[in-house]
Amino acid sequence: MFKKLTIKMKAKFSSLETTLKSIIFALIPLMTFFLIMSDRKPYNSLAFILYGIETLLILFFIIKYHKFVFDVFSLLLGFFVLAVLISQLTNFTLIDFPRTILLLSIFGIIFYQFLITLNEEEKHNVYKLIILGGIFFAIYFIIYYFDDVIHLRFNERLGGDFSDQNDLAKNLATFVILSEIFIIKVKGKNKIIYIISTFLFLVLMLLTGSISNLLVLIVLSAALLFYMTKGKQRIFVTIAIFAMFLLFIVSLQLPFMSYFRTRLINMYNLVFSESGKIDHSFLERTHLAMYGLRLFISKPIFGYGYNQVQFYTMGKDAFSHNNFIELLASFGILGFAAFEILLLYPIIKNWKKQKKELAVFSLLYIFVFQIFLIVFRKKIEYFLIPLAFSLIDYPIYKCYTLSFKNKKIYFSKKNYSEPLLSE
Amino acid sequence: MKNKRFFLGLMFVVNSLLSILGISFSYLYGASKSSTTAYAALMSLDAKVKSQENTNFLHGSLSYSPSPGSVKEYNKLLDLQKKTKGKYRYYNSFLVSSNEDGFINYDVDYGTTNEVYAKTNLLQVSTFYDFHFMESLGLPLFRFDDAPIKITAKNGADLGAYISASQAKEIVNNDVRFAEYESLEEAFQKLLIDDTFTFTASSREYKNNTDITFSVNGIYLDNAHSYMFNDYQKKVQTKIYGDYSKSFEFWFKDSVITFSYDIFSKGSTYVFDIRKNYGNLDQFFNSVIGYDYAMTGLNISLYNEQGLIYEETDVLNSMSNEYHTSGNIIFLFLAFSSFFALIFSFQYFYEKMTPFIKIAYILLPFAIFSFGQIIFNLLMVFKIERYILYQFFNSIGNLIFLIAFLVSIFNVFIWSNYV
Repeated sequence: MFKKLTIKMKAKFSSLETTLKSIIFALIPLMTFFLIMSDRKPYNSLAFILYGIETLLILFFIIKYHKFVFDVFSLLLGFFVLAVLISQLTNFTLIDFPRTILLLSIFGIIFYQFLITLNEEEKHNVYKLIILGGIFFAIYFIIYYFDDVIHLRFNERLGGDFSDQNDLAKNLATFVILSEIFIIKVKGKNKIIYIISTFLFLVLMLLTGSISNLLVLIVLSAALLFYMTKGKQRIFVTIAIFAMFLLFIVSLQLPFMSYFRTRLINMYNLVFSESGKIDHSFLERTHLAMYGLRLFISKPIFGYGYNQVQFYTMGKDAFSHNNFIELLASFGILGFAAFEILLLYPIIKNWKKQKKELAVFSLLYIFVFQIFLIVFRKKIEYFLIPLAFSLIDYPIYKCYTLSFKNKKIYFSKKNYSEPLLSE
Repeated sequence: MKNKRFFLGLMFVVNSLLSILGISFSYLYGASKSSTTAYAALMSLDAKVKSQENTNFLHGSLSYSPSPGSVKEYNKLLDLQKKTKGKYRYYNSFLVSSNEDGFINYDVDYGTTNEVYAKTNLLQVSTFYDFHFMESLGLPLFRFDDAPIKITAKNGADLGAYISASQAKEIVNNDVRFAEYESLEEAFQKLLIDDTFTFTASSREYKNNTDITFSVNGIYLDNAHSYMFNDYQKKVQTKIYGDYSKSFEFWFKDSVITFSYDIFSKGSTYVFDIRKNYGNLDQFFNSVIGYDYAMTGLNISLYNEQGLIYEETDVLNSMSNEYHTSGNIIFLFLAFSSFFALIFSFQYFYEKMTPFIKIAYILLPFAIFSFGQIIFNLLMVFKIERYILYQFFNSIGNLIFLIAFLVSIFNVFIWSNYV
C-alpha cells in the first residue's frame, strides 16, 4: 500500500509539469474550504491569497506548457462583464465597478484554461476535490458548533459565523447534489464515502435552517433521480421519491424538527389560508422582489448599477433576495441575459449526455436557487460554471488561441474537432 | 431590385415610426398619471441625494396641520446629528443619537415641537406571540384598516420598540397606574396617552452591552432582553459587525412611523432623516396619499444638508392635493394602437423578409427604446431638473413598451412556427 503510494507520488512529481498540476489540484479542496467562508474575516483574506496563488500557478502552467484559449465561455463571461461595465458607465458610477465580479471572471477564465487541458476523468476528480473541500468544511463546522450540532438545534440557524446562513446552505446543498451523483455513478466500496458525505452535508444544511435551500434540494434531488434512470427503474424511483417524501413529512413531527414544521406551515398559511401565522421571511422576500421589479421597470435596459437595489428596499439595506430581479434591477436586460445564458448554455449543451450529470445538476441547482438569493457575485459559481463549460463536447471546437513561441506571442483562430488535449 | 430596396426601406420607416409613436404615447400616458408624478419626484430626489458628496444628510419634515414651525426644530436636530455624525454611517428616521458623558443614548422622540402632538392613537398596542424568542409585546406605529400589524423580528424593528411580553406584563401588573385596566392592551393605551412618547434604550458600556435598559416615558420596561438583544443575536451581530451597537442601529434604522393613519388624522409634525430610507418615503406616498385625510393640508418639506428646501417638495405637496391614479386614457389607446399596428406589420411583411431582416425588424423597436434610455441616462447626469426627466421617461411607459415587445416576440414565434 505504502509502496504503491510512493510510486504514485513519484510519478506525480517526476516532472515540473506534473508537479505543477498536482499542486493546482491539491489547492482545490483548500479553496473550496475557504470560499464557503469568504464573507467573514479572517477567512476572506485567506481565500483571497489562495485564489491568487492558484491563479498564478495556472498562469505559469499554461504559459509554459499550453495555450490560452478564448472560446464561447470567455465570450459569454466577457459579455456579462461588459454588461456590468455598460451599466456602471450609463449610471456614471464607474468608480463603484464591482471588482469582485472582475476578479472572479478573470479567475474563471484562467481556471478554465487549466480545465480544458484535463481529460474527462481528471475533470471528475476536480468535482471530487470540491466535495473533499466540503468535507473539510463540514468537519470544521462540527468542531466549531459541536454543542449545537449534537443537540440538533435547527432553530438556532447555525453557520452565521462563517457566512450568511442561506449562502452557506446553498454551498452545502450543491455538495449534496454532487455527492448524490457520485453515489449513483461510483461503484464498489467508494460509494460508502459519498453516502456518508451526502448525509453529513444534508444534516449541516438543515442546521443552517435554510428553508429555501431545503425546498430546492428536495425538488432537484427528485429530478436528479428521474434524470439518471430509465424505463422500469423510473417506477421504482417514483415510489422511492414518494416514500422519501412521506418520511420527510413524518420526520417533521419529531420534536427537533419543530422549526421546519412551523416555518412550512406558516408558508402554507401565507399562500393558502387567511388565518394563522404567516412566514414573514417569505413575505419579506416578495416585498423586496417587488421593489427590485419596480427599479427594473424604471430603467429596464441598463439598470441602476451594482449594489444599488439596497438603497430602495424600504430602508432595509437589503438586496432583492432574488438573483433574477437583482440582475434586472442592477444591470438591466443586458446583464440579466448575459448571466442567464452563461448558466443555461452548459446545461443545455450537456443535457442528457453521458457522464455530464455533474455539470448539468450543479448549475441547475444554482439556476433554480436564483429565486431565493443572489448568486452572480459568489465564488462557487465561478468554480462550477467553468467546470461545466469544460465538460461540453463540441462537435467542432471554434476558438482563438494565444501561444508563446520563440519569445513571440501568437494569436490565431482555430477549429478543432476535439478540445485541445492532444495539442 | 430597386423596388425591393424601396420596399425594405418602407418597411423600416413604418417600423421606426410606429415604434416611436408607441413609445411616446406610452410615456405620455404615464406622465398623465399623478402617481407617476409622485414616483418621478421621489426618484429624482433620490438621484439628487446620491449625487451629493456627503450623502448622509437629507432631511424631511412631514406635517399635517397646522404648520408648527418645524424648521427651527429641524436645525436643532441637525446640530445634534452633526455632532455624532462621525460615529455612524447613517441615521434612523426619528432616531436621534447622542454620545455624552460616556453614554450611548438612543432616543426616539415622536413629536418634536410643542404645538401639536399625536395623542391617543399614536401607538396601537397589540400582543403577538410567535415561536421561540419572538414572544413579545410590540408597539406597531401604524395601522391599516384598523388592524394592528403583526410584529416580527424584521418588521418589528421597523415599527419601533420590542419588549418581552412576559416582562411587560409583570411590569404592568406591578404598576399602580395600570390597576384599573383589565387588559394589557388597554394598559399600554393608557401609558401612551401622554403628550410625548419617548422610547429609550441606553447603555453604559459601548462594546459590552450588558446594561441595556428600555423605557417608555421614563417607565422602566425590560432589561432582560428583547428579541434583538438575546445572546444569540449578540454573538452573531458582534461577529458580523464587530460592534454590538451597530446591530441596534441595524434593527432600528427605519421606524416607519410615516405610515401612521392616525398621526396624520390627528395632525403632527415629524422630523426625519430619509437617507437610506427612500423606501419608507416611497411606501408612504403609495400608502398614505391615496387616503382622503392626506389630500388636504398635508405638508411635506424636504431639506438638503444646508437646510435648503428641495424643489420636489412643491411637487409632492401639490400632488397630494390632486391625487388620482388614472391617466389620460386616450394616450393609452393610441399607444396600444401603435404597438398593435407594429405587430401586425410583421405579419404583413413576413414573406418578403430574409432571416437577417426578420431579426433586424424585431429588434429595431428595442434599439429605438434603448436609444431613448441612453439619452435619458446621459441627461440624468448633465441636467439638473431630474424630476422632469423621470416624469417623461416614466416607468409606466417602460412597462407598456416591454409588454408590447414581449408580445411582438411571441407573435413572431407563433407566426414563424405555426402559420
